[in-house]
Amino acid sequence: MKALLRLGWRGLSRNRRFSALFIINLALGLTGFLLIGSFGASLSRHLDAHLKEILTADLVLQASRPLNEREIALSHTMAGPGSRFSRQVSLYTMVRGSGVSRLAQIVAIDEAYPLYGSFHSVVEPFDAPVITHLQQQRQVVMSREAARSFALAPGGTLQIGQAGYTLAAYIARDPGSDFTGLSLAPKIYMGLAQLQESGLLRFGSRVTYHHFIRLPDTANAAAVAARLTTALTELSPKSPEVRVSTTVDVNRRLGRVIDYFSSFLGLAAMVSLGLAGLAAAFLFREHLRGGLKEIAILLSLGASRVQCLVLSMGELALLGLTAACCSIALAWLLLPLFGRLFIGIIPANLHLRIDPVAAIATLVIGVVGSLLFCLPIYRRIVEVRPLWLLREEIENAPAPGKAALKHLAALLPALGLLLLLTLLLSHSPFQGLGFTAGLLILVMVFALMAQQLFIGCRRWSHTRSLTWRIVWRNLYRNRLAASAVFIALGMALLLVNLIPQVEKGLTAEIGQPQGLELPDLFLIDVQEEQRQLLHLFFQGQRAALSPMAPMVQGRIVSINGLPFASWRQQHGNGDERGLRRTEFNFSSREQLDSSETVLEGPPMSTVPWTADSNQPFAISMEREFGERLQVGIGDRLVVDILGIELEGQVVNLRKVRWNSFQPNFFMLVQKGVLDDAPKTYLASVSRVEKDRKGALVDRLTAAFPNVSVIDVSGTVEQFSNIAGQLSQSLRFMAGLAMAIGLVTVVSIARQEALRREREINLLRVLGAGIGRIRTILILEFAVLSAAAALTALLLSVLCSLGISWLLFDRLWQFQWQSSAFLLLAAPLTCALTALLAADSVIRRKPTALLN
Amino acid sequence: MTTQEPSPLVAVQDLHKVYSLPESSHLTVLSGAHFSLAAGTTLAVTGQSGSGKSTLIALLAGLDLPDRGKITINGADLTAMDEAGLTRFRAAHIGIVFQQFHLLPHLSAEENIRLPLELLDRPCEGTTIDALLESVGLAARRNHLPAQLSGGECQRVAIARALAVKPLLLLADEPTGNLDVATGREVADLLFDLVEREQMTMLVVTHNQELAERCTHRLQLAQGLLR
Repeated sequence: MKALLRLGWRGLSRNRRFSALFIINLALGLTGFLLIGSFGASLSRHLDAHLKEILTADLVLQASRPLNEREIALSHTMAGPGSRFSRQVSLYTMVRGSGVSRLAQIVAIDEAYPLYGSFHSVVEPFDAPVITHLQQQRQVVMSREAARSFALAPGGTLQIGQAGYTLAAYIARDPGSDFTGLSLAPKIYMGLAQLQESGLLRFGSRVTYHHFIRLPDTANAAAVAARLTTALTELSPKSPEVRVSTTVDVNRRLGRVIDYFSSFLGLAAMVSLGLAGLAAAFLFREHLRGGLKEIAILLSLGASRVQCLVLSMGELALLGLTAACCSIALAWLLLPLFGRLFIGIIPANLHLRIDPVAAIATLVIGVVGSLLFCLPIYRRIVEVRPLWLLREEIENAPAPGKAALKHLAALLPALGLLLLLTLLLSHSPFQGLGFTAGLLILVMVFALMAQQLFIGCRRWSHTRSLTWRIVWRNLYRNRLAASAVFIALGMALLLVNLIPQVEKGLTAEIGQPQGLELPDLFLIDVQEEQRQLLHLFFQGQRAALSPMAPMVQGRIVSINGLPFASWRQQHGNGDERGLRRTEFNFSSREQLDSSETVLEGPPMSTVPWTADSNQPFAISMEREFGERLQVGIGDRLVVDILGIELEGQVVNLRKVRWNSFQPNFFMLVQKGVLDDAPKTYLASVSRVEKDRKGALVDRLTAAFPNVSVIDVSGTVEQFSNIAGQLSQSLRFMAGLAMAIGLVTVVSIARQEALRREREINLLRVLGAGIGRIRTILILEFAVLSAAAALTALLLSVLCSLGISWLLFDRLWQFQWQSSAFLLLAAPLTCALTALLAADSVIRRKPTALLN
Repeated sequence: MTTQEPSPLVAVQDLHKVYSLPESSHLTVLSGAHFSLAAGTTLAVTGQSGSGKSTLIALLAGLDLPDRGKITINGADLTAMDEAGLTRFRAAHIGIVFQQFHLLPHLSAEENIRLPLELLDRPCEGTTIDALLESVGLAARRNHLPAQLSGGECQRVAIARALAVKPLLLLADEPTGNLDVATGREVADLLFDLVEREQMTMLVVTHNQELAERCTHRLQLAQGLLR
């Protein structure tokens, strides 16, 4: 065994280039895997630990009206003994500081708030008296930034509604703000007991009432939530206005933020790992090909086949282990960079660290994965016959059909591992199976294409040009080995091009829409009679007022004759985002906004609808909302708008670019439907100069005191930053995949060039000049890689289209730059790598062949 | 041909070997070969290319199994052994010298010689290896890799490696076939000197008449039979 160990070690240390290439290839792929795994685990760990703190409770009851006594009593009964309760009332209103008026979110809390988590001052949690004082005195707390926007310092007075409140202290972090969200206005906390004095709780005020419940540790929050939802619905069956949320809902909402990330990063990790596995298997195949003779020698000297397998597998396991260790070190270095890329998207205090489970998985994949990926190659060790060392021997090769079957059988464990990994990374059997099956199909397509290419090579070899004749004949003659190169190169290039193709569509969607004017201010609650006045106000102002969108709240009563709740139960696709409520905002437009596009169905009729027509009015539905609701064109909805039930029919599905920040709605109704309903209007203001914005808001507030003016420029900027970081992250992962892919391409080309050593020598012996040999080599590799690249590009476009369709809401755009780059770079890289790798062979004296 | 010694070390009886070729055709290489070889003697097997000389060596070395017939070496029936048994027998009792040396390229001359002993877990004292290196004239080049040695030197290492386990039978497949005439002669001298000194039994497959004539016995392989 000692001798075998020495032999294995020598084999690796003497083949430093192979060992280094193998380790680099595998380490890069494993690094991608480990980074994604650690990122996901860190986020999940953080969410698990902080989910209750984000919600500040186990359960939250939310309504747009105060809960009545029966509902409160019911919630107390169902929560059970030992539960704790807290209340919160929040609303948006204009607040006046030291000569500055701003929209703010007033959050009135009771003394028990928060049930989980705490308020933090700049350095530490608040003392309890600060919150207690909020109940007893007219005091508020807010962030330093919010205070600054009101030109306020501690001790200063803030006019909220009819009362003045003193700023008691700054808060550094408030409960529930752990996950960065897009907030429309700064939060101001006050005592619930002090809210009444502001006079803001009037009829018609847009107020949200929260009841927080902290259950005993042994309670099952999900079960209590389900029972409570049912009981509250039974209490007011026609209008289940009280929504019950648990940490699961928070998780789902948070999940939306990173949904694209996880899928894309998972895909990138799978691709990285796939590329690494591909390169590792290819490199090892070539390494082992050279090592088969050594195995035969060992067998002739009396080594057993098991000893030979142990030797070879030991070599591979050592390489895999080294690669895994390198990847852990690399991931440890890169993880902080990952954290910086996601600033603003992930929780600010998320501690990113290497996940021990992912690290162990990396070690196992490095060692076991290498062995499994190379299993088909090990089959060759079993088939080594020491009598090959004797000349004039005739090899008893197995029948081709039997060999192919054995080869396929040897692939099964590797495929199983790939499937397992893809399942782990994608968390979806559908995606995991799809990726693995897709890879298999692609390999078959590449094999078919290779066959066609070599048939062509045979045909083209009847040329007069000696160089081209040799090129075509070499390719045809070496078609078995060349097929492997073609498939490996093709797969690598396909995977490399797949990521930028998917990334392009995502980045375009995430980024700011081209040509759309981003708003600075939102004007909410504009009354009918104020429309003209508002237009007049903006005349002469250096700002642009958008067309005003009417807005009426209504309820979906039924869909296709089924009560809404029953429809949701029967047709829900599991994605309940935004569907637990029954109240929605309806609007209508003369023409679609530039941020909207009709995807299916005809444009909405511009003829005003009348109740006398006895026809349902037309509804234009946002596509994703329609998908969540399982409603399509032709479906009929009965909606209750301010007590009047009307029937509408979906005529088209729209795509809305939500990141345009224009006033958009899930449902637009035909002109005329909302004419008689009391409604408010929504508008946006753009092109406001930054230094004039404060003055404009003050004038607007003074002229239209009931209109809520929301400064969205900060939100837009925040979103732009997030979008930028998201795009940057996507590009980073795409770049990583391309880098791994190019290393793979270089490795494959180099190995293949070295394999041709004997042929090159033979050509030299036969009198071919160095120039001609170089030309032949360049042409062979250029032809092979160009054909592989062309096939790969076509297939990658199809695959990325499919992936975008399945995983990324059909967000796809053709990324011609990366395709063009790969089409040029692949043949060039391959030809140059082959040339460089073979140059030492070319320069060697041809007598080497004779020795 | 049969050597006349009463207790042959090697006994080959009615040896048949047929290879399957593509398209359902067959190639008969040995069809009833028969011979025996006494301990301490040397036998040269000559024949045309493709006559089956290497097949004979492969069968005697336990690298392949005959379709029919029996091979006995020192009383052990090779044809009754499984692959593991053959491997153990080969490691312990057979030394092979190949035409193309087949040294492990990453091991030094000394390590190549030491390897068969290590595979057998036999103690490989320095003196044994030193003596072997000395005997093949490579004491000064013990740490050189095969790539740093000439063809003749590589074959000397291969001979030393084959003799390291003190085999009952030494099989040499064209031991000088890859060397120039002068070097080939030197290697042959060395090989025969060592065999004689160690009182070994050797079977040499060769085209080289000069080499064949140095053996105590000669056989020609033609049409699957030894004559």
